[in-house]
Amino acid sequence: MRASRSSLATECRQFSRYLIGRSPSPAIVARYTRACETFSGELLSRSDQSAYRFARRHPWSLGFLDAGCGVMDGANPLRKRLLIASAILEATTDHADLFLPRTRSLVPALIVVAWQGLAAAGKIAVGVPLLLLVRGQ
Amino acid sequence: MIDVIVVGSGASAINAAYPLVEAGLRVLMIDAGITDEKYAGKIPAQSFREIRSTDDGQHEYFLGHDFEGIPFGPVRVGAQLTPPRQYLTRRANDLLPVLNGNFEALRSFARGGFASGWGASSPPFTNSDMRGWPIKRTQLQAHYERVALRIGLCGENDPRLREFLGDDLPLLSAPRVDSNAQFILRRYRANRGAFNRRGFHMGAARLACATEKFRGRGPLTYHDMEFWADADKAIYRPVYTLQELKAHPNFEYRSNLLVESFKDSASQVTIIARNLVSQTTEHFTAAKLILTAGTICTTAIVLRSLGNASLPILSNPYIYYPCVVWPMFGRKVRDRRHSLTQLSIYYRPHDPTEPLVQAQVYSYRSLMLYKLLKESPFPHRESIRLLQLMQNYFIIVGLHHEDRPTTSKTITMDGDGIDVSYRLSQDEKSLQMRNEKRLMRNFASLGCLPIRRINPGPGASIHYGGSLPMSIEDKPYTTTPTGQLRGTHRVLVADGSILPHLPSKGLTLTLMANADRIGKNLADEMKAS
Repeated sequence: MRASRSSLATECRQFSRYLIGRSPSPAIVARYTRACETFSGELLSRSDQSAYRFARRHPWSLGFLDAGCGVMDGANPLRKRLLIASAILEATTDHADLFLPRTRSLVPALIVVAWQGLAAAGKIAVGVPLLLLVRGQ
Repeated sequence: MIDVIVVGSGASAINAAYPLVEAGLRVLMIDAGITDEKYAGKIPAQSFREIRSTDDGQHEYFLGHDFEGIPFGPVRVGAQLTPPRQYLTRRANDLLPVLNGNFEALRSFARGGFASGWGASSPPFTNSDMRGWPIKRTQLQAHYERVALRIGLCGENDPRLREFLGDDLPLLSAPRVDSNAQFILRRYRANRGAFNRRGFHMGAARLACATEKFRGRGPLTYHDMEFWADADKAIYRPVYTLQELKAHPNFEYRSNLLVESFKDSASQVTIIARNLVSQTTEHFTAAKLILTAGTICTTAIVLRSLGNASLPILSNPYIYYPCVVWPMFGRKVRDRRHSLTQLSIYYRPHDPTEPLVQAQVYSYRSLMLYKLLKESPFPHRESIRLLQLMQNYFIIVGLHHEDRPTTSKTITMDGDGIDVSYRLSQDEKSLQMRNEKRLMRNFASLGCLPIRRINPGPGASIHYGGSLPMSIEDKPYTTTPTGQLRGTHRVLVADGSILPHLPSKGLTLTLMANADRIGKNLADEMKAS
């Protein structure tokens, strides 16, 4: 199943909002589309596309399924697409501030680590059963 | 007639040719000579942070034109080659296929060879490293010095590390280490006695780097872009010396030629090369031939010329440990830094029969966050936020183990390709793991928390050697201590192929010094006759 360009563009916007909370520029969308076409063999080689398809149909589930796949199936096509999106978002001036190292003093840094750690743990707790459910469908 | 043909243009080739050209001999260098046509000139001469914030075209080289910089799957051999460095292995499968899958034998047909993208770490070998070799450090010392003055070697002649570095060399001023390395070094020095008693030694790395103005290069700008570009020309690349050699009327450089074999007689040697543009065969004749195409390619040339055989092959087992320097967390770090080896670690086990383990500490930042994201088991959104906060405190520890020949490590020709079979014995694996654990335990006590162990697999160090070892015994497919290939009259070998074993240290400086030694001996001999 080869996704259409407009579908990949929608996907890019969805992934970008999930990853960094910002909408991507048209140049980034075009780059993402081209990258997915370049890697189509890699992305479609796995028969199990269920997590990816479910996340596309139900955007609320993206974070949970990403978390579930991170623990259970790092090579899942959904994770690969998110990696492509992350790499493309990182290699731009638009969003460099969200990827370049940031130094915070110890206490705020520990708060961020604790908060992000809790968020990740919560998503994993929901994501693992959700992934099993989605795969069983 | 040409006096000497030198095959290749990498670190060994250039340094073998240099003394011959200096002596006034007519030298022809023959090379495939692949260059970077995609990325050269596209990367601004700015710091990593400036580029990241201002260059709208950065995706072209950080990700690659065809997104070749985005990694999928497990970490593999050559993963450290960024898109602008990937030309180093271009056309390798086409020019010399490797048939066996269990050993990743990277081959470079690029101008300057792999040293066009090396990490520049330059520890010399000591007598202890060269145990069992037919030459000693004293025979290499003058050549280490000549090479140091040719390429620009920087660092300190630290008397406390003499056991690992040997006699002093002429050095440029030491490069500044980054904030993490500074912290680690301070902790180590505060408790040096205890660490040393456990066999653990550490110091700032010696690098082939122009920290000052040097032969038209440098000084090092601390732009943290060394994995991507060479704007300041501080890190040594063989092409700089090639440029110097080209200025001599008795030196000629021919590229687009792939040397396939040679024919040797008592009066002359002829090489047979394929022209990579016209696909025709060309012949070149000289009084002497020096093979310096890199271990894998040199071995292929020899096996095609003298007949196929099963020869030994060596490669330093290489393991990475991404670590977090956790006591640095929340501290400000210096933005200006270089990306290469910051610290060198030497671990000498108490049992004198066990080999030295050597490790290098790198700063991570300029390799981009997305490569770390791939390794994170957390959701991407949280990983980005966590890694953004922590990447200043990330380091990579790369460990090299020594490698010695066994019957399970062989290279042979199979049709047009090379077949490499490489298997470490259970004893070798256990010994490596034991010493690795000891080294990393010491390292962890300095506040460096290893996150995971990454083994990219056999061949990962891109240090190959041992196929045509120097030996005093007169055996086929060996070389004399002066590099003469046995069974030939006029052929010498001067690259990694002739190292009898691979100590755990980075090889390139020694390859250059040994090539200089062989080139100088030959120059003296030819001038005398």
